[in-house]
Amino acid sequence: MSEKKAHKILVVDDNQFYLQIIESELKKLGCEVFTAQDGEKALSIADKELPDLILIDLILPKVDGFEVIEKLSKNKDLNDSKIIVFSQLSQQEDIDKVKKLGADAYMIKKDFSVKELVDKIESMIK
Amino acid sequence: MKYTEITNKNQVAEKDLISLKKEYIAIVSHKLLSPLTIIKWNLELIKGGNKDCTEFKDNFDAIDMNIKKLETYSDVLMKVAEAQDLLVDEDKIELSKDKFVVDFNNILQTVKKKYKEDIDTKSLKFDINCQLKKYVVNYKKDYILEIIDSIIKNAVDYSNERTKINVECFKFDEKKKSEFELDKNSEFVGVEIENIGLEIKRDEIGLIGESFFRGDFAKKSGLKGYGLSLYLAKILIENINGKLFFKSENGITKFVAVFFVKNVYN
Repeated sequence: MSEKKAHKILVVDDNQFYLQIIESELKKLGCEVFTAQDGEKALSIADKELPDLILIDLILPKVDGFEVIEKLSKNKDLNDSKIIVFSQLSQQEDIDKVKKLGADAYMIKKDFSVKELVDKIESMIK
Repeated sequence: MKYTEITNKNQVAEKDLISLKKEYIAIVSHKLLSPLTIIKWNLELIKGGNKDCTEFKDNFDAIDMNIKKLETYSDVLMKVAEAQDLLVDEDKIELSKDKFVVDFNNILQTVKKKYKEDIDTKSLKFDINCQLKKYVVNYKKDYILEIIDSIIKNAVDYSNERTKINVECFKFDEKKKSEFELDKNSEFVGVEIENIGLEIKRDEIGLIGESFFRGDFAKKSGLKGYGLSLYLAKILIENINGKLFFKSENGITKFVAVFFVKNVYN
């Protein structure tokens, strides 16, 4: 991966423990990782860095994940970016809602190990 | 701005409660699941590593902190469930013929000590002004402790960093009794807790003290609390014939807990 251009990944979660682990594991893959702890900052980074993949929680300060996804989906510069929702919310109406808004995948945090999450991200940026 | 009483009120329309309750359950589940997932992930990283255990200090610290979070959430939820039982079975109300001596200043200092870590983390100034003597009541002082604890926890959670929490304890004089529409012939002690931070808006007034309050807010803000602490205070104070009032303006929120007391203990 070192000879290729590193994939840019934006991880959005208000919980620092998740951010630390995910950032560390993705860096091992050679990805360039950006992190944000609120929706407002996520939108600003996405606009500037145009990440290949955005991993985002739904419950966020300032601007919630639903609104962030809606705005990201409307941004033509991010047409090729993949959006994975990574949340503890498991209600079907939340899943349906974000898919309608433009998310490519929905992962319920408690159901995935670190390895499974990293594998999923790897498969989506290949 | 006048104080609004939040005890003995049933101001929330049923349809609002249904949607709030649904949202509340989702939020509570979310808060319990997050620490569990983080613990699971850190264990996975430790198990998968080839390093010596001492090199996993961050993982152990994360596990430790998230276990503490789980304990706190479980504790509050358990207390709410127990307090709701009191509402269902009125025989459980602990008003008795026995008399109990209460030292309000001692209770306030105990609660302050309990939240010292949170107070320091947010760089809050925490002042207590309590010149009261000991009083006699006909309910266990544990109730007073739990009620004050819950309101102070709420104030700490919702205060802006580097602000001040003022706690004042006072005996109601005739003027104060009139302001709060209390019985002129009875004796009351008030505990006023003032904090600066999240303002409670007018249209939210009817929801204060409901266990589902702030579900939606917590979703957007990421703040902890959800009003569970206030709900607990409301149930407990109703069960000892006390009252709870609040007002919120320009970011300053004041709660006044009113306790019925018998007489000064000499």
